[in-house]
Amino acid sequence: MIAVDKRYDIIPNDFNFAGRASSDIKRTLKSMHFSREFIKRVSVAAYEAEINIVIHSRGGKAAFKICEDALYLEFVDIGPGIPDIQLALTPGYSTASEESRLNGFGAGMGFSNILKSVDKMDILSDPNGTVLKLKFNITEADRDENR
Amino acid sequence: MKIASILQGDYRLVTHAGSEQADYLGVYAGDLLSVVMKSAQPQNVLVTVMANMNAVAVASLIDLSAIIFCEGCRATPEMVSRADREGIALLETSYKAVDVIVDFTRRGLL
Ligand SMILES: Nc1ncnc2c1ncn2[C@@H]1O[C@H](COP(=O)(O)OP(=O)(O)O)[C@@H](O)[C@H]1O
Ligand SMILES: [Mg+2]
Repeated sequence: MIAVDKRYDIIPNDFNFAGRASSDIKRTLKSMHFSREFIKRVSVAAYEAEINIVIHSRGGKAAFKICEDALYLEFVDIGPGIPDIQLALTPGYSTASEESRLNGFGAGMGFSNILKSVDKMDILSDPNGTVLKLKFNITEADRDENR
Repeated sequence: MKIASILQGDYRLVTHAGSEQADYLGVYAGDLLSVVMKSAQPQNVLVTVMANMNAVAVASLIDLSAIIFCEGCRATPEMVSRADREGIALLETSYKAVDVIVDFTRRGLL
């Protein structure tokens, strides 16, 4: 059974709109009474991925699904892609612009935060765009809002 | 600990009256938002110069209680209304981050 199926637009370079998708994801999980720990893991990964589309891409979309015992986030953008994924995953590596840095981004820690939060991550990228798929396994403890 | 106990001397509450009644648990200082997300704990007070909407968004995402904008950094009206909506207290001070921490230590607010 699919319990949640939501989609969001992510606008490039719009620092005021940035984070709307992640906020809605967090609100949804809270209303479903997931544990604080689980909500934080998903929210942080979602925010990092959303911000990457805002600051590094020409725009894209996010999809948020909960299906049985798994939560899936999928981020798709329309380029310019990640030329060297291994390098991009290196903690501290960042090509963020001066403007992004002034907004608090560009620590080069986005992917580390994502990897720490997810159970599985897949990246597919070429100059036409990047697809980032994240999977979070849902355990009994994650469903308990008192944790 | 209540946000109200911080409000002595060079700290100005800019969110709505009453927002100082919220509780906090410890302090975290930092400006890079990825690092803040990694290391700050729920209900922390964030001390930062990053006075923009993204800091408020992160605070809301990881359940921080308050943000102190230091070194004279100011919150915009948009940031204040978002913080009011999300239940986050915003404070401004002319202190540097390190001086806020020293002040908190001295006054037993950590
Ligand atoms: N959606 C994307 N499109 C193009 N490049 C990206 C994308 N996401 C990440 N990157 C590249 O990967 C690098 C590392 O990303 P990340 O770890 O989030 O650090 P940061 O965003 O702080 O630079 C970025 O600096 C950028 O070069
Ligand atoms: Mg990033």
